[in-house]
Amino acid sequence: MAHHKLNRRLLTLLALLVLLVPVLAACGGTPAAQNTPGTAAQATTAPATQPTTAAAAQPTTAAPAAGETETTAAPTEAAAAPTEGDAAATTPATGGDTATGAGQETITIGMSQEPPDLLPLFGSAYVSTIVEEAIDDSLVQRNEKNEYVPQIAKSVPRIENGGAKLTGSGANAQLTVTYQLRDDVTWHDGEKFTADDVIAGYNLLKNPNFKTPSAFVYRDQLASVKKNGDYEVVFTYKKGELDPTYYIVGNIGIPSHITNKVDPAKWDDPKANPLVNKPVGTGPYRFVSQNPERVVLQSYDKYFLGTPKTKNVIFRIIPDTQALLSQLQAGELNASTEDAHQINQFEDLKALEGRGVKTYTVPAATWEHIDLNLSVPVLQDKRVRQALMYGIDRKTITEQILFGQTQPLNSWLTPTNWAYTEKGLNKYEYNPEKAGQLLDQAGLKLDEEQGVRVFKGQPVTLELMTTAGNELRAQTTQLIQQNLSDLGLLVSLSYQPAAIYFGDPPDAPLAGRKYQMGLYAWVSGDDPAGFELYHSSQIPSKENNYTGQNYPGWKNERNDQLLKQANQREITREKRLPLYAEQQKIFNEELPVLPLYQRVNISTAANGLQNWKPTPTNTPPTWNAHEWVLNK
Amino acid sequence: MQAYIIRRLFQSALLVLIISALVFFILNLAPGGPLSGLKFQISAREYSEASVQRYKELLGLDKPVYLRYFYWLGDMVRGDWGDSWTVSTGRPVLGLIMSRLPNTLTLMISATILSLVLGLLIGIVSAIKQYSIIDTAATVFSFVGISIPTFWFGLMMIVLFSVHFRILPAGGTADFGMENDIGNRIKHLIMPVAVLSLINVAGWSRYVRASLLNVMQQDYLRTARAKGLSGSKVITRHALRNALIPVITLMGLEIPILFGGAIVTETIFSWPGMGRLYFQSLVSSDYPLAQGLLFVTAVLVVLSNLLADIGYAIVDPRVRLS
Repeated sequence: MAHHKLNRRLLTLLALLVLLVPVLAACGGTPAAQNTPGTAAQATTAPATQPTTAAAAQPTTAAPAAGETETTAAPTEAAAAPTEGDAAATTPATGGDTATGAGQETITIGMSQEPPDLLPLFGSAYVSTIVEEAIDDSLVQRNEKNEYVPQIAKSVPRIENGGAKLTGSGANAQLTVTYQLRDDVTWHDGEKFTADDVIAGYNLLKNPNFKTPSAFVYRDQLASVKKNGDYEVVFTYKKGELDPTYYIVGNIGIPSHITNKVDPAKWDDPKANPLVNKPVGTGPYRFVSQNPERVVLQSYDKYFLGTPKTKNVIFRIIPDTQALLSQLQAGELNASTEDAHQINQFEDLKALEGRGVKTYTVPAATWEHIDLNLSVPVLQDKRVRQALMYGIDRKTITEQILFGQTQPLNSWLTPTNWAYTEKGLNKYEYNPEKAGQLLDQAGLKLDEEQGVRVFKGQPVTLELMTTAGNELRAQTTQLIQQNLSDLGLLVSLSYQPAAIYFGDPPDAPLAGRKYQMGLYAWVSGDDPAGFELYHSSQIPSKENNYTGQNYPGWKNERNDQLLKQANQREITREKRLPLYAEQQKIFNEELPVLPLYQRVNISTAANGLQNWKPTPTNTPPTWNAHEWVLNK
Repeated sequence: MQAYIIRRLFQSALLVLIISALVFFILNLAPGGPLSGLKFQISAREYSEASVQRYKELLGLDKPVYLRYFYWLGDMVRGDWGDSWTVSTGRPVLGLIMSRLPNTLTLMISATILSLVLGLLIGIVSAIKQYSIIDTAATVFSFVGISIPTFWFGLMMIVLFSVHFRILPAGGTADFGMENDIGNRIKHLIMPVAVLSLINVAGWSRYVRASLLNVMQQDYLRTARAKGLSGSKVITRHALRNALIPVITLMGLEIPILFGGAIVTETIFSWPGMGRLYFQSLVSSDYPLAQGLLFVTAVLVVLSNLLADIGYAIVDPRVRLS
């Protein structure tokens, strides 16, 4: 009897343990996720510099998605058309033999994760935008050169080309943006895309019940959106609201003939909004079906830029990167997107080149840097900050950890940004002697016996903090620790869960300014912006209710003037460019932040896949899906 | 017996309630969540108290935790398990769970039946023919099986059968357009089931062997042999029945795992099951989904414990449930 009682107790204990494990996992889980580059690293790990822009740039793209069931849209064709998997596995070279045109009939693409939603105007994960870009088109679209080009609009409206106008000045300055729309664009159900679809998007976004934290432009900056005939939309801003990314404000078209009765509060409710289960867009590919294994798309024959060259595009969801590599090798996949790969796979991917898989790398919009907390006495001397920059061998870091696929960065703007100005920037090539001299000058003398630098009688120790569980950052910080210890600076490494590191002030290390050196990344948007990052009014503190993201606490009068002028007074590139050029020079000299490098986006495509053009931005490689051809 | 079961059911219900509260509060106490890092995701000029407050209201996070727990519990009871936040935005949690459950059950039940049959067979043979070549081979196999990491074994199988020989698909539950083809589905099942079974067979056969050897040294078995029963009857009638008690314990614990899925195996073989859903819900702070899944697990653990206890009574008449 007794031992059965014991048994039962043991059982209960075990059962509780089984329960506890998931709970514990829950506690530790969040940070892991935020560090997994697969899970839209751009969105979660790396705080975005200018997410408004990003959000505004993406919305149109989407057409909503999919339940676990197939739609009735094209069942007959669907049954006949896509071949994938088994057929491809046994005869990988031939794939679908019954192709229509020059290329193969089906392109199969591997991605890491199921898109959480394919809803237009909804804050979308990167994996969602991959599919959305193929389903839906925008008024204007960013290409592989980081330039906006017209899609549904006839041209990109800019002040320079007369598409946008600025009247008045100062507080009375008023911006109006006019989009001329093509009249041959249709939604996948055959309805015409008109100005009403853009206005419907605006009405949705400005509705306070629409579930998104970021619709600032539409809720607070715009005065009105009106149509002028069916193919012209005019966006009028409130006076004094100089939105630097005004040219993409119109990327908000939704199929209003489907959604005009949907309650904005229930936009993501499959019972209220038919788009949740059956996205309808204007893009080259129509939505056929989605389940946790794959998203199936089929070409839209009436696509306004011409019938796509490949009949079917299938996204397969393969969460394990090693398994994905095997499937690329087996020829079951013709391409894989950026969310599925990390830079540490670079050599494995290169090894696949002999097997017909080509690796594409592009420097990303995400750039890694070290914020220096200027409240820390030893970091207040400019010479110390410059010494750190000279003393960190960034060239070796990019060559060894990032396989030479990116370059050291010397500004807070990435070289692909239009406002980046290289002229006049110090490159801070690795120079430990110079770093030592600068430290000597700053009074950080080397204690020869201990091999440690001493400042005001104390050995100098610095804490370098970053997120836990990110291999790239772990390797980078270890090299930095080594470099700085060569200079006689003791650096301790601290790895924090992302949920804590990026947590809310006043307790969080970054936002509460309780760190010494903090390594993390920003995602640079289309507009350089920068006011929130480096203007002295944006140093988060109790007094300003923790407004702003100037975590170093940088205060420089000329920098303040330039940022204010560039962000709030001027709107043309011509006038802003010299302001940013001067500001970058000051930044590069003062170094409140040590810029390290841009991350690398890696994707793969079969050798025979033409026009695979990954971008240096958050625009996924599907942006030009209608041009893809997979050679037989 | 009936009274006992009824009493245990009541206790179980209470236990589930306590667990649900614990799960809810711990999950909501953990750092992270939909509002964490919001400051980094939307631009600074948009980040105002008002916009955060409005977002909180839309997500229902503006009320205190204890109130939210009661709302959640009330909705649960009425069959509304809430909507997913991030894994599959806007979709009902219950629907999501039900869409993954068949995949997981197919995989796990196949693997469990196979492991049970093989585990019992190997265990019995090893015990009867202790220290024979078969027993030694089984022992070696078990240690190898327990030692091989799942992810490595799974990847090796993919490399061998999908990349090199190209006879088995590398992942998924079925090829596109062939979802109703049983043959195609079975082909997809082979590797994940093999991986899952390897570990189970290795473990279970050891349990059965040890337990059977222990029973075979008991006096009553000598008595059974002495009264002239044949060797096979002694084993099946007397020894095996007693040897099964610890195996039932194991099986009881196996039920929640059956429904919970196997995260690693599901991930490697791109198998859209409960394990992956659960993992995704945790890493992306999808609390409604995680709560729903944890609740299901809690109910299953409690129920399977009850079943295991009742199972004892059936195989072991010495156990009196009173």
